[in-house]
Parts: sequence; C-alpha cells; structure tokens
Amino acid sequence: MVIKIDELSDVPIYLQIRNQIVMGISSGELAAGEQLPTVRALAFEMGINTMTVSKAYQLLKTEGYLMTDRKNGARVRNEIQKRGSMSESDRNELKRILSEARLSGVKKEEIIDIVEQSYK
Amino acid sequence: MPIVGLIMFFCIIPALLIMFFQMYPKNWREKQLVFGVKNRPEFKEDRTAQIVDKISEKQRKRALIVIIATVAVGVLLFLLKGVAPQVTSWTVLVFLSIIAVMIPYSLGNSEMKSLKRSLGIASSASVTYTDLSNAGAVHALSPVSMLLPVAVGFVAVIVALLADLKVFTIPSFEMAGTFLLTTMMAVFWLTSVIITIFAFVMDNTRNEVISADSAINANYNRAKKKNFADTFVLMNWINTVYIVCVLAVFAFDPSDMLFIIVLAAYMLLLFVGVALFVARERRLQAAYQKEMTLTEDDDDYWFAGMFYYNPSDKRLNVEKRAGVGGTINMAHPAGKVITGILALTLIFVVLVLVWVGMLEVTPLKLKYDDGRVVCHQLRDDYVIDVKDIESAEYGENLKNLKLYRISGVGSNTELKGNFSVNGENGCKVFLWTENEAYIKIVTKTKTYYVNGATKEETAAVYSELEKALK
Repeated sequence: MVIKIDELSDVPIYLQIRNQIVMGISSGELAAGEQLPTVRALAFEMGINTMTVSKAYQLLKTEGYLMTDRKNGARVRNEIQKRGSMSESDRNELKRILSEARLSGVKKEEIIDIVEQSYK
Repeated sequence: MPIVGLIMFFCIIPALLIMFFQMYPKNWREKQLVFGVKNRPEFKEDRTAQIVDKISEKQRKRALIVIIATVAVGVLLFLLKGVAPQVTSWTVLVFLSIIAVMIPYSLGNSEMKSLKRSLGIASSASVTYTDLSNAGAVHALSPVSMLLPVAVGFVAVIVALLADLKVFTIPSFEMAGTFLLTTMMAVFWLTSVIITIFAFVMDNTRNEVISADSAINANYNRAKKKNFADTFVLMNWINTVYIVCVLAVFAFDPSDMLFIIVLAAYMLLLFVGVALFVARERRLQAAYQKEMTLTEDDDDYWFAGMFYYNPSDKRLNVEKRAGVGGTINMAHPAGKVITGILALTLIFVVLVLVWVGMLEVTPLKLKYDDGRVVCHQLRDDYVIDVKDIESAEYGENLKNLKLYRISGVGSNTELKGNFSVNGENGCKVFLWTENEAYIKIVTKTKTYYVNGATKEETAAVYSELEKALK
C-alpha cells in the first residue's frame, strides 16, 4: 500500500498517515493481522521524525485499528470494533463535504457513485 | 613514455567516458531523468520533445568537447619532464576535467527547469510517496559475502606486518622493517572497509516508489540494491586480490614493471566493475520504464541536478541523480559538516599542489651558518646543531645508497623526509638526486643524509663542518 504525504497540506502529517492507513484497512489493501513497518523504518522511508510516525501509530492503536506489542511491532487488528454509527464530528464533516459539493454543482448521482465505489 | 602520465591517462579517460554516457544519454526519452529533472510525459509531446532534443544535443556536444580537450591536454602533458610536475599537472587536469564535464549537465538542468516552468508544470516538491509494505524490508546485500574479502585482505595485511616485524623472513623482501609494504597494503585494506560501509549505507537507502503496486516497487528496489551489492562485493574482491598480488610481488619478485602491471590490471578491473554496474542499471531502468506510474517531483531540491538540499528531509544519504552511488542531503546537520570537510579537503589539495609545484622549481640549499647545518628549500627543513653531531662522513656515490621512502617527497630530482637508508629506519633525508655527493651526519638522536644542488656546495659545507667538529 502506497501512502502519499503532502508537507504543505493543512492536515498534519501524523493525521495524513492515520487517515490513509484507515482507508487502507477499509478498502482491504491492508489485511487483518498484517504487519506494519516499525516506527523507525517508516520514518526513515518518509524522511520524517520518528515522533510523527509514533503519534500516528498511537492514535490508530487508541482508535482500535492497530494492536502493538514489543515482539511483533504494529499489526492491523483482526477484529475491528464495529460501533454501527457515525460520530457527531464525522457526521458534521460529511455534511460539510456534501454541502460544498452541492454548491459547486456536483450531481447527487455522482456522489452516490463515489459512495458506492468507496463503501464496498 | 612516462609511467605516471600513462596511469593517469588510462584512469581519467575511461572515467570521463563513463560519466559522459551516464550523464548525457542520447535516448533521453527512455530515461528516468533528463539532466537531473524527472522525465515526464509532457516532455515527450511533439514540440516540447524537439526543444528537449535541442537541449540534450547542445549539452552533449559541450561535454564531448570537454573530453576531447582533456585528451589533447593529456597528450601534451606527456612532454613534461620529471615526476612531480607530471603528478601536479595531471592532478589539476583530473580535477578540472571532472568539474568541466559536469558544467553542461548543470546548464542542461537549468534549461530543463525553465522548460518545466514554461509548460506550466507546478512544482509538487512537497508530495512524497511511501510504500508501507516495503518500508525497511527490501535489502539485497549479504553481509557474509561483503565481509569475506575484507577478512582475507586483513589476513594479507597481518602477513605483511609480521614480515616487517621480522617474525619470519622472506628471501627477496629487502624492505623488511621499513613498514612500507604494510602501510601500502593497510591503505588499500582501509579502502575495502570504506567500500563495505558505503555498501551497507546504499543497501539501507530509501526505497523508491514508482508504482501503486507494492510488488513492482519491491522488485524494482531489490533489483537496484542487488546491482549495488554485487558491484560493491566485486570491488572488495578486486581490492583484496590486488592486496594479495602486491604482497606476492614484493615478497617474490620486487620489480617495478611487475608492480605497474598489477596496478594497471587493478585499475582496469575497477573500471570494468563500474561499467558492468552502469550497463545493468541501464537495463533495469529500461525494463521498468513502463511500470513507472508514480513520480515524486523533488527536482527543486536538486541544485544543478547534482546537489541535494532538502531541509524537510531528515535522511542524510540519498541516491545520486548524476553518476553512480549515493550522495548526501546538504541540509542535514551532518550533511553540512561533511560538505564543510569536503570543501576544506579540496582547498587543502589545491594548496598542496601549489606547494609541490613550488618545491619542484626551487633547488635544495645546504649551508653552514653560525654553528649549524641548515637544509633549506622554501623553509628550513632541518637545522642540525654542531654540538649535537657525533660524526660526519662525506660520500660521493649517492646511487649506492639503498633508500626507501617512508614519508615525505620522493621525486626524480629530490628525496626529502623520513627514509630507510641501507636498512636503517627513521633516517632524515635531504638529497638532490642529480648531485652524487652527500654528507652523512650522525647526531645523538638521528641520522641525516643531506646535500645541496651541486657537489661544490656540498663539499664546502662538509669542509666547514669538519673544521667545526675538530
């Protein structure tokens, strides 16, 4: 799985890493139980500070997407907790995106297409 | 024909040709980089392609002119007499030609960046790709195969050291005790150690992301790192074979000609090794050309297409854009220190060359002055107080002395520094070789062999010294 990082983006780098790993797990690019690189190896590959990667991994662990132990490093959780509902902040974020899309003239069918492609 | 010139000529010309074919390829359309700027589909469109063709041809011609000029100047340098002027002139030529052959490349880089801007291609230098599946997982270097030649070379150096320490004797090894052979072999062995460090650094460089497919990225990076690893292992074996051959030559048949043949074979093999690397790298790039769907645009961080300066990149070592191997991120704190050291080294080399050139045109001067024997060439090299002298001896057969240089100057015209003389180590030598007369001065702590530019000058100093000693 390839991660794209934009240093000039408003989104902090650790959140960019976190978001793309979540998308990878959701799309199946990252399988359940799959080993992730060590903090050091990923930081070296990205040319960023190890603290940034560590922060992203820590967040993913807290949110229940990853499990970490000293022996195996970070792995994708086999069973991800299914809450069955969206959080209030995610719901508001989705509303904002839909509002902006409507104002820019994007058709409802197009949005449904995107949702169907992403939500398989 | 002068040996120094021949060696330098056959070193620099193949090196320049390798640089030329690597930096100025004719078929730029098939390359990943054009003068250090990432090749992109926009460059290959009809009208733009014609502009790139022109840039490429123009800079290729300029680089070719530099190589032809180097050959011409090199041929002229064969007319120079004396080892020191040849070494100095060739070293200057090597430096200048390497810099000169890079100038068209940097001009091409500047033109390509302008073209990119004129095409409206916005810089996306802030975007980087990382393959999560391959991070830190792609390696091709086997530590055992890398360290084995280093270990063999080390054994050879120990054998030379034991021979120098006279733990055992080799019949034709006349230099035993001078540590000259041990030092020379140790220098080449240390080169192996540096190659080994460099090999591990290259094996741990960042993996390039060329595709959204992790398997393609893994194979591409593994193939690249294997090419590096194979080349470094080959280099280490060539170095080790050379060390062993030098030991054999000095131990069994210490002739200059055999030594030069071994040295020439060593350099030839090194060039073959580099040429094989370049050929494999070309095949690899051609094979993966169609798979390259993701490209990071970090052109703006590469000054002149050669020097990497990226403050937001925490890595120190990165793969080179021009040439073979790796380079450093000059924005990294350690990179700044290394750049400073390299700059100081270059300045030092230039100053040494100037100093050696001045020494070559300044004859040795020996004088007796106020109870002291002064050996002067640009500065007072040795000042020997008569009070410290135990004995002085005048000789007229300089050629009969068995002199081995340990450190200092050893040109056709002068010998200066620490030498082993007739088996005695640590002697101080200050001799003009065109003058057969010399004075051997023994003091409480050292033995000196000195003379002036002429026999008369030497005899006059000896006469005064003799009077003073009485």
